[in-house]
Amino acid sequence: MGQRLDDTPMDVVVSGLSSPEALVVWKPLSSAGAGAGGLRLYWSDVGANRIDTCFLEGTGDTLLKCGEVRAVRSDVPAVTGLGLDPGSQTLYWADSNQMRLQSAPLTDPTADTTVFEPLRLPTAIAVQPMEGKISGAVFFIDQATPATLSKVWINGSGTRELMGGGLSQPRAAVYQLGACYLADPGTGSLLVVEEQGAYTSVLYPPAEGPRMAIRPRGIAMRDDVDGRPGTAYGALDSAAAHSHAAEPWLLLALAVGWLGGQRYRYTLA
Amino acid sequence: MSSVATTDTIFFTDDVDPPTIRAFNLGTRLITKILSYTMADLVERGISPLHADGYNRTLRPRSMVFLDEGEGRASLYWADARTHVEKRQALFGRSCAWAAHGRCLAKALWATAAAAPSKPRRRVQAPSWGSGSTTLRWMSSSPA
Repeated sequence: MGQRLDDTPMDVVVSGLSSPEALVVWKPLSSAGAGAGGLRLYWSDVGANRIDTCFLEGTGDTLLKCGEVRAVRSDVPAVTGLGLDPGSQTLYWADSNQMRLQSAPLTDPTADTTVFEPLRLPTAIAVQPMEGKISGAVFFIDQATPATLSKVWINGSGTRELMGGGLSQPRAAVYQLGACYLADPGTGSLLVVEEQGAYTSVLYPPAEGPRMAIRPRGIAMRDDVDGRPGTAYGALDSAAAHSHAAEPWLLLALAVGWLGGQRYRYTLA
Repeated sequence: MSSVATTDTIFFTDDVDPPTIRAFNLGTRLITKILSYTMADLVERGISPLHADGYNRTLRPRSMVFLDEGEGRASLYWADARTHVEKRQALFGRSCAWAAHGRCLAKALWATAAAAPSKPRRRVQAPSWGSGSTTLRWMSSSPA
């Protein structure tokens, strides 16, 4: 389903699916090569053992809807997490049946590669795109007890557990420059983890004051602002500044953590 | 144009009754309701209230993506895992019980593709969130 962020009403984008679970959008880069051509949705259908895709079609005046649905893979029984790296044009998915994290180029989705195994109970992934020669990474949630958030570098240089406590039933993750945001319907919370694990915070519910009960299952964020990178750091910093305005040490820790993380990323690359 | 800030905002599907799409602003730490939807809303948009096997559909919002289309246009897309046919195996098995094989197969495929119900043999009581307001309102200016 879809909702334009204006006054146009919600609408059904594609129907007739079995049990759609993970969803990602493909937006071609201006200089994209193969695979470019338009906006696309990719989703996993765990009831039909498939990963499907469609081009989003429309005039632009109303909600874009799916054109012809095509199977990317029809032999993947339990894909619970899906991610895309637009730079390398690579599709990543977490297979909770084979208990592994896999990838394949969009140009040849059958040529899959195992990125990491074994997983125990993967529920979501988020892709940190490759930046030039700097390795990208895949964040993955493993919901086995205790639930964890980990990160595997795509160049094969390592894996790191970023968060091993405080999670109940995390089900969604999204990466925005510098941080991984999580949704945990088990605790009814939204969380943020700095990309190296240097900083973790519960964004919602607040420690005190009024709150509402939520069960967040899927989360999404705008990639950046006007194509400028770095917005997420600003978002993270502004969030911290709002909630910990009297704690300047925390902002200092954020900055140190970020700089350390950048150095680590370069080292790995 | 949207009156909801799209930067520094986490949009999320809220698996409550009724399913709700919300926005959490990282700066203000406030949650804003974007919309709620019920089965009646989907029926208006061509989705059958019954699964192909005759069971009532329930709503379960899942993954979500944000799409910036440029020129100030942006959209949210999300999957609802229970809006669609649950199991094709169940669909075939169900249909074959009351029709000749060839006809059964044809009917099952049609039902799957069109998300339309087959003749129900057994129904279950719809959960409480299966009906409700059919009005979708843009409520970005008011807290959830």
